[in-house]
Amino acid sequence: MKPALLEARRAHFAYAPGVEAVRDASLLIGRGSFCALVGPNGSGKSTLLRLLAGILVPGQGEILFEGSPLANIERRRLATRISYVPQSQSTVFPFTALEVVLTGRSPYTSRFRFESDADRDVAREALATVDALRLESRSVTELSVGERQLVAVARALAQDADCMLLDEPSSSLDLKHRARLIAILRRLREERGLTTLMVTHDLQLLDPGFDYLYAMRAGEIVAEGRPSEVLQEDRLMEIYEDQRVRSRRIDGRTFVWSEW
Amino acid sequence: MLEQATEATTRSAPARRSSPSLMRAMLLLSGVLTLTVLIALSSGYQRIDWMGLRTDGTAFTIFFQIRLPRVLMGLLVGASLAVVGAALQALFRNPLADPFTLGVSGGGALGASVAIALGFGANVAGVPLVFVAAFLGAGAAVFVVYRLASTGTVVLPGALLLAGVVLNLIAAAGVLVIQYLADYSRALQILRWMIGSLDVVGFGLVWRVALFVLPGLVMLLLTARDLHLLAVDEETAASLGVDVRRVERIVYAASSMVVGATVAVAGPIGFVGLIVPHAVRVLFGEDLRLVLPCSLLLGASFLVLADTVARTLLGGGELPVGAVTALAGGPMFLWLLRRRQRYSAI
Repeated sequence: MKPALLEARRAHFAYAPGVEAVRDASLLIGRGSFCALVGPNGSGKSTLLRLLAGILVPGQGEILFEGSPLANIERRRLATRISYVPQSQSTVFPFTALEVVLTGRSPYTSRFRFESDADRDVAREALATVDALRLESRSVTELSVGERQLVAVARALAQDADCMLLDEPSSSLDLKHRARLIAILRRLREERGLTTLMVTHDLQLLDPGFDYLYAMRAGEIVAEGRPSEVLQEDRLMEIYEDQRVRSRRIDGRTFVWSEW
Repeated sequence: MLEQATEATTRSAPARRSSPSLMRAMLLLSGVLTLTVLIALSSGYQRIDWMGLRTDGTAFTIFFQIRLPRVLMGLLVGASLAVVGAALQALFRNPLADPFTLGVSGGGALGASVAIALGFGANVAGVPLVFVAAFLGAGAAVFVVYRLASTGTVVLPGALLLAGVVLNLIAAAGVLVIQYLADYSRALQILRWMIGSLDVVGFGLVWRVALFVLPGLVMLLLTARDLHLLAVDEETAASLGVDVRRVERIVYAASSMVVGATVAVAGPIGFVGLIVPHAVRVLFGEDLRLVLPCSLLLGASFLVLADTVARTLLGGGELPVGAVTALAGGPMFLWLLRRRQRYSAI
């Protein structure tokens, strides 16, 4: 692991008193690393991701970016460093896809200005990168869930941050776009040194490709390591508390499924 | 990848440009507003000879004591309701939110009724107590709505509107009880006030309302960018550097102040906050940085026009302006409900 860009130190978070969604979570995301966060539904992955993005503030413990607590970093400056792709978007107004992607440029735009032509070029290039430029003048409320995910990723790309946190960005993507998303993120790592942490249920995507995995269960981080280690059958059985999980490593690729 | 981008750039039609279209929209709406004001100033039961304004004492009095203050009040109230409506819609991500549907006007009405019934005609530091009471009532309604909206991690838009309906019913019942208990002349005063009117004499009240309303409107316009990001998605907005809780507090405080003051002078006037922002969206697009200032201009035009209709349609008599806006706005609201499939969730 390279020196940490983003770090959680014994972070706790509870949405309601007494019910801890994240308990004592510590993790290190190295600069330029390509990491994933896995675990069963309701294990606290999304909450931890929101803590790392600065959207939620830990009740105890702290989140550090380049060694300084998130709380000490001015919000809009942080937005030029960390981008975040939510699991789903609550947009009810018929904004066009381009308008949504342009919001990614807002950390670089002063309060009383509209985005410049250069910002538009960045936004359209981001849409082209995820193969969604054809959607630019469509209203997002008319798009399919998968198309919306592509637009959300394009918005985060337009934000041009050092670190991208994604919450199940591929859950509604087809096979082709799923692979493409991973390829894009890996290419940005090579080109710009982008650091990525992705929450995912898609265990097929992880080995090879990802550098490091964290696994959560019931609010705690219960396993971490290289994908080929974490995705071993006995460890997955523990993480998912399920004896039916199967895992095979064939030709340098880990396949995971569950018997039923 | 880049090749693909440039190719598509040349092929597809140029996307909507925000900045020049704001200028265009503002110019157009300023033109509409100027025209509306001229029509409003020149129409009325009493014909005014513009040439004789300086010499004719009666015409002078009618123009400067009655007609001009009334038009100014219409501008203030209309602009206020429309901007607050647009801001609340963005904040709650609900196209059916406005001061009226969320019960804020109702809360203000209850507060003002209490003040009238208790005979609070007095001023505190130049501010009529009725204003203060209406402000408190509106603030209480906003607080209830806020509590409901913020208890879950996900705002349930249906629940919000339902809460607004319930708040309006409670407020209406409260006003009825107060009217019943109050003495006859005060009950009549409340009734007349509940009907809603922009009728004012002289500029004194206009300035006092402006004192409340203008800072609130400025506050709301200053948050346009944050509201734009919030309208797209709350979590994304937070990750883009918007202090969501702070924006909420600003919008709540400004809305109660603005709606409280307008309800105190003009009574509860419905639907302006609902249809004006929607018309702006249909005409000029969804960008809140455009919707807020355009709603200000169009809201002012709409209410002044509605008031002109209200006071001239019957010849000698006068229709309640709230009835005119409701007759225009009610069908619009139903039409909005019908085509809600354009919005993903209401």
